[in-house]
Formats: sequence, structure tokens, C-alpha cells
Amino acid sequence: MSTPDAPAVQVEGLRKVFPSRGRGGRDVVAVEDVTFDLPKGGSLAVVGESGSGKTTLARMVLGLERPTSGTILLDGTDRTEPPRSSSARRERAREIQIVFQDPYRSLDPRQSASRCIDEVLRVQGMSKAEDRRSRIAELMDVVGLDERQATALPKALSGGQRQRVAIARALAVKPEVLVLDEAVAALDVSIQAQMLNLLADVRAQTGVTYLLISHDLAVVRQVTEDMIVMQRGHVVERGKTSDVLDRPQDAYTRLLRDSVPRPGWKPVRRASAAKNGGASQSTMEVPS
Amino acid sequence: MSTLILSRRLGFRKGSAPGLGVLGWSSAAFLGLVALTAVFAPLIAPQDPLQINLADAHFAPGSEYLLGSDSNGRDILSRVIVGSRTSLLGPLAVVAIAAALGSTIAIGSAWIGGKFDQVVVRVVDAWFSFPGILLAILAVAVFGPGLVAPVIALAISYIPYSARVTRSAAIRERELPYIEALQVQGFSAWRICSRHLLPNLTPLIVAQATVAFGYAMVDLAAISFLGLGVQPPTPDWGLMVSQGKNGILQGYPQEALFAGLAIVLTVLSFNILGDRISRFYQERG
Amino acid sequence: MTALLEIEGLSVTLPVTGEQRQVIHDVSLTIGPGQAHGLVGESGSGKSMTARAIMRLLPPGAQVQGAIRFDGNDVMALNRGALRRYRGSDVAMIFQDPRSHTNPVRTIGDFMTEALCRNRGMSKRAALQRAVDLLDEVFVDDPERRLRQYPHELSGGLLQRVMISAALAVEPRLIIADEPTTALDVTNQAEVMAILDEQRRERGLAMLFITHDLDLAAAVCDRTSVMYAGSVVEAQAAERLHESPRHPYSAALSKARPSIDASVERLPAVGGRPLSAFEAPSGCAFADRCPFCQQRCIDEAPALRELEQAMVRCHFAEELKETLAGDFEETMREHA
Repeated sequence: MSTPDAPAVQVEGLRKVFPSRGRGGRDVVAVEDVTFDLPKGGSLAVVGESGSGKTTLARMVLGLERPTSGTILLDGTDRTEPPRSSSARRERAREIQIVFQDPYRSLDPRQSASRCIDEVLRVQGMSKAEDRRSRIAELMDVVGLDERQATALPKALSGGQRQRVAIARALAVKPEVLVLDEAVAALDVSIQAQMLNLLADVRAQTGVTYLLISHDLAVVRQVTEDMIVMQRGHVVERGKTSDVLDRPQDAYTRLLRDSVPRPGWKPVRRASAAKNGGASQSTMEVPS
Repeated sequence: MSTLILSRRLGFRKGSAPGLGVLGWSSAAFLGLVALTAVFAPLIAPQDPLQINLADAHFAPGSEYLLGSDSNGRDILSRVIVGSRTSLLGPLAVVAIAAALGSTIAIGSAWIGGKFDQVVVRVVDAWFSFPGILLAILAVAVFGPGLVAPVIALAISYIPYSARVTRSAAIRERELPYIEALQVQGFSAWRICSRHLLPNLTPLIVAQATVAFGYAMVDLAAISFLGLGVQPPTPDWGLMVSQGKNGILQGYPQEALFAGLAIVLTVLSFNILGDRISRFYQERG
Repeated sequence: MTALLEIEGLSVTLPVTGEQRQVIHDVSLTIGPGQAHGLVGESGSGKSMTARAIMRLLPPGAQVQGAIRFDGNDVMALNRGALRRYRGSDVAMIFQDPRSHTNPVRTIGDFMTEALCRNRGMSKRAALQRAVDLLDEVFVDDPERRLRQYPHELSGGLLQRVMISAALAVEPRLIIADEPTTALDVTNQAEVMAILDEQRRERGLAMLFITHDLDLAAAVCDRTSVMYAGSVVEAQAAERLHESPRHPYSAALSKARPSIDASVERLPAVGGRPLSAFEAPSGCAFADRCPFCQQRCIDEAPALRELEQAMVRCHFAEELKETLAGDFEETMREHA
């Protein structure tokens, strides 16, 4: 099945429409005609604010949501449809994994890190307890958790430690692609830095491909080589991360960039003069 | 939800009342005592609860009969003690069946979602409107009096309570990222539901069943009172209230009084304990 | 300059499962009239608890030491009526999550006019007119319609602007903004911060701005205090904090954020996690994470002291001056 030259993720013309809820509501187009290639070992950021469709896009790639139209290829194999059989599910699990944003709710509160990973390995058919134990030890080493932390319940761990557990769980089955869904957004600054370094280490060690879903342009710059910018379901700009951030072409990308606090930055109101125009709408009035 | 609002009003805040509290623990202790009594009833009971001695009818509480005797001269204390068995066993069976089936329906419905879930919600709503006691009486009419028919009928009528509470919690739990992470790991729906969803909902299911236990006890007592449940001379609290009701008018209230007291204290304890467990669950979650 | 808000040696303990736990330890800060003061820290640093202490909104069972003075009056000693006036018209608070601080079944109009009618004794009609004017000032479109809407009909950014105008409505002298833009998208954050900053300056209001973002604090504040484990470890002019941090923790905090302009191979990250006051070691609270930790730091808790227009709580602030401003990353990398 695996094709050596095929991109890790290939998405073409992907579209997702959520049907309206209740009478008189309009259908919501969450993702509209999104196309991208993510080569093996590469790292791509999908950047956008809430409502941009970036999370829906990630969920479709993961097989948690069924695309309305378009295709998804993982490692050259068609994975447009969410998996149905249990063997298809396990196969997809070895292709793509995810780390969620919220470290407090992305772990089963009743399972320690080692029990959680043990179960993952068992489901994936690693039947010998000895093998599982050594794989768990290896993973704990990769993410920097000690033995006590590995056997502690999530509630005894800090946010950063829980996120390490989540990364270890995702890496357990040696996936080709790791989706990082705002995976460092909820962490304290000093923990975020540790985690970003860890992500760099993990990539260097395993050669895993990153698909980063983020609104944080500084994190995007640190983690990825390529990026696409989404606004209301559409891709408005794409390119090398350094190019897009240094020389944004699209007006929305520029606005995003200019809104990021940094040394010497001052907040500026959009269209400061227009008091009666559409400028103070909560939604963006940027041509795309 | 209403208990949450109520507890806010009473000034219980997150963190201020850890654990079950004094009242919760005393309820638990009392129920433990009742359960022990039921298990060791024949050993504890001072006299044979079935021994009729018409000469001793309607004795007031005293040294001979600690809680007095009934119209047949049987020792009320012994009958209350031995009666705890059927009185607890019935509701236990009711909530066990209702919680097991209710949670299965709830988790299945929450997991499958969509149209299936909507249909289940409608069915459960309709199910609610059918009074449990009436169903039990119907069951007795068809299958004859005793413990089994009313227990099954009540269990069926308690399913929607269990299903509704568990379903809304299961839907909240299902949306947590850890469940999605398990899906992405390739786990089967069965495994996720039985090994992860269900265990995390267990405290809530237990809390709900604890409260339901009290209601089931009252309902079964009512059925016994109507003469449709456990049959004489088997000692049973509901039945004792029923048989003692004539004594009240004659000035011998002890049989109905003590059996009634046993019901009230037990039900009250279950309600308090159930409330505390669900509060504990909410604070933890 | 007479201080508007003066906090002196504030310490707070809270009851947690039967024992009193320290959450704020010896915090002192002063805000002059019209001044904006940033309070920056990570989780558990005590920054939000400090704000709650100022509003006297601490949870029941909290024990407070030290003094909080507003306009010379002891806030802790205010009686019921004076406290209502203080909360109702001297100080206004803006919260992180506006949705949980509005009543979902009451309209924006009800929400905004309530304080005006109650605290200012305005008529309903006058209060509504005032609310329209206020919304207009924070650039909310079609204010009349907004007043008839319910909180769930407004986006997060718009609702936060409503909260700002409601806070301004009572004409306070101090605004406490507790992470007002953390829940918002970055473009909305810029917009809301611009409006808040503009309105504050126009009205000459003082502000205590609580955030985890040093750059955001620097953008709208005159002075910034950095909190760690319940204590202020450094306070100085906001724009200088980035270039010349005086405390190793502030330096670590500002260097740890990745930059939008360039990626680095490794970020200078200190180990460990941010501690709460009750978990902190008895010497310097930052000692076990500090790349420059000496024996003295473990033995002896440093006091907040003055160093070239900055306040700093570090034994070795003088010696580290050059390092923190410059080559700090090198040192941290070696340490890691």
C-alpha cells in the first residue's frame, strides 16, 4: 500500500457543509475547496481564527468527520471516508494521530500514562507484555516523564505533564503524521517553550510529519516549514512559513500578523476613523 | 442540575464540602447497618417472626416484646428485622435492572447519536408518562401477586429515569477529547463505551440508582400495602404498615408505626446519600 | 503623586481541604491616578487572586494580611455601604469570560442599565440613552438593536466591548481587567485592547491589567509587575522589561516565547513548572528553576528591593544585570 514518493497527506478540493439546525437555518459551509500536499517528514501549519474551518479540516483528515466532497489521501491511499471496520480503524491509527489542545480533558481520568499506552499497544496487537513494557519505557523517555509520573493518574499531573502523556500516547503506534490541534495553546509560557522543544526533538528522533492547527503565528513559525492561512473555510494564502510571515500577500494574513503582540507593538483599531461604517463589526470585513 | 442549583443556593461551593459530609456519612453508616441487619436477620431477630401467639396480641412495647406485638401476637421487632430482607431485596432488584438497562440504552443512544438518539429520546419521554404503580398492578393482574411481577414492572418503569440522566452525562462525556483520541487510536465503539465511557459515568449511575432505591422502596411498599406484593405471613415493611392500619384505629399503632419508621429512615438515608454522591461527582467533574 | 491604589505587604491564604494555603505572599504595588499597571504571571502566580483581593471578592475562609488602600481608605475596613459604593462606582472589573459574567436570560440593555439605575439613581430612560452613547463610544454598531439582544446573540469580541462600556458606565477611577482578551481571537484581541486603551486614556482612568502576555502588557501599560509563586519578583517600566529584565524569571518568561520574526533551533526554556505560593521552596521561590541559583538562594528568601528604577526580588540582580539583558540564552542552554 505504502508508496515511497507519495505525500504523507494529500488533500484535494475538500469541502464540508454542516446542515442547518432547526427550521429556517442556513447550511454552514465550514470548509470550502481546500487543497494541499504535506510531504513525508514535512510540517505544515493550518492557521486561522475561530470559525476558519481549520479544526473541521483536521477532523476530516483524522477520519472523525466525513467530507461532503473532495478527497483525502494518506500515504497514497484513499482515506476520504471515515474507517468502518475495526481493521481499517487500526490501520488508519497507524497512519495518523492527534494531540489535542486541552491537556485536562484529553486523557481518561481513570488511566495512568502507562496503562493508557499499554491499552493502545494491546489494541494494536502487541500481545507480549514484555514488548509493551519496553515500548512504554521508550516512549516515557522520549517525552521526558519519569516512572512515578508514568504511573500517576492524570489529576496528579500538571498541564505540561499531561500534554507529554498525550504526545506519548499519540506516538505509541509510530504514526506517519501527528496532528497538533492547538497542542501548546493552553499551556503556560514556560511550559509551552519546553513543549515546543520537545516537539522539535520528537521530530528529529522519529521523522514524524506534523500537521499543526494553530492561531498562534509565533508557534507556527517555530514548528513548521509551510503554512496555509484559512479564513471562513477558504484558503486565503499559502507558502513557506518564513515567506508568508515575512511578506504576507493577503490582507487577512497581514491583519493576523499585525495583531500579534510583540516588543514595541501597539494595538490599533481597525479603520479607526470609521465610526459609522462596518468597521466595528465583530466579524472581519476583509476581502479574500 | 436542580440539585446543583439547590446546593449553590444553600451556599455549598466547590471545595467547601469535600466528600460526603457528616449527613452523607451518617446516612451511609445507617444504610450499612440496615444491610447488615438484612444479611444476618435470622441471627439477630430475638424471636421467630412467624410465631403466632394470639394470647399476646397487641402488646405495647416493653421488656417481653421490645417494640410490642402485632394483632397475631408476633414480635414486631423480629418482623421488622426479618422484613428488611424482602424490603431491601425488592428495590435492589428494581434499581439494578433499571440502571443496567437504562445505562445501556443511554450510552448506546449517546454514542450512535443522530436520528437514532432522537427516536430514543422520544420513546423515553413517552415511557415516562406511564405510571409505574399502574404497570405493576397490571403485572400482578396477569402474573399473580408476589415479589417478582411488581419488581420487573417497576424496573421497566424506572428505566427512563436512569436512561435520561445517564444519556445527558454520556453525551457530555462523549464530546471530551479523550474519547476522540481513543477513536483516533482505532479503538472499537464497544471498547470505548464499555472500558472508558461507562466506568467514567459509574459514579453518576450509582448516585442516580441510590436515589431511585428510595423511590422503589416506597413504590414496593405501596404495592405490598395494597396486598399485591409480598403475601402474608412473610414479614415485609409495606405489608406490616398495611396490616397494622386497623390497629391504629384500635389504639395499637406500634406495628404500622415501626414498620413505617423503618421505611422512612431508610428512604431518607438513600435520598441524602444519593444527593451527596451526585454532588461529589459534580465537584469532581 | 498620591497613589490611587496602594497595596502593601499583601498576603492571602485560602482554606483547601482543612488547611490554610498561601496563595499570595508579600505583594506590594502602587497605582497612581490615570496610570496603567500590568500584572503578569503564569498560572498559580496569584495575579487573579490579587485582583480579587482588591475587589474584596476572595472566597470564604480567606485570611488576608497587609493593607489595600484606595484613595487613602483601607479597603479591608470598608463597611457594607462603603464597600458597595467602592465596588459599584470607584472600581470596575472586566473579566476573561464575559459570557459567564452576564445573565443569559436578560438583555444587554438590562445588563447595562442595571448599575446606572441602582448606583447612579438614573431613570430607566436616561440609563438607556447613556448605554447607547457608551456603546457608540466603543464602536458597537447599531447600539439600540444591541441593547435588545441577549448575550448569546453577540460574538465574544462584541460582548467584551459591551462589558468594557458597562464598566465605563459607572465612571470608575480604576479598571481591573483580568485577562480580558485571553478568550478572544488575536484580531479581536487587538481591537478590544485598542478600544480599552483609548477609552482609558481619554478618561484618565487608572488600570490594573492582568495578563500572561508580557508583550501585551507592555503595549498598554506604564509599569509592569511580574508575579511568580504569589510574589512580585520584579516591577519596572513596561517597555524596559523586555530589554533589560532584572529578575531571571522575567528574563526567562520573555525569552521563552517564540518569535513571529524568526525561528530558533531551541527555545531557551527553564525546566520545571510554575509553582503556587504554597508549593514554593522556603528560600527564593524561583530557586529550583533558576539557571543562576546559588546556595544563598536556597537558604534565604530575597526581599523586593530597588535597583535603578526597578524593583527586584533577587539576591544577585546586580551581578546578573548584563547576563539577563544579553547572553542569557547561552547560560540557560548550558543549564538545560
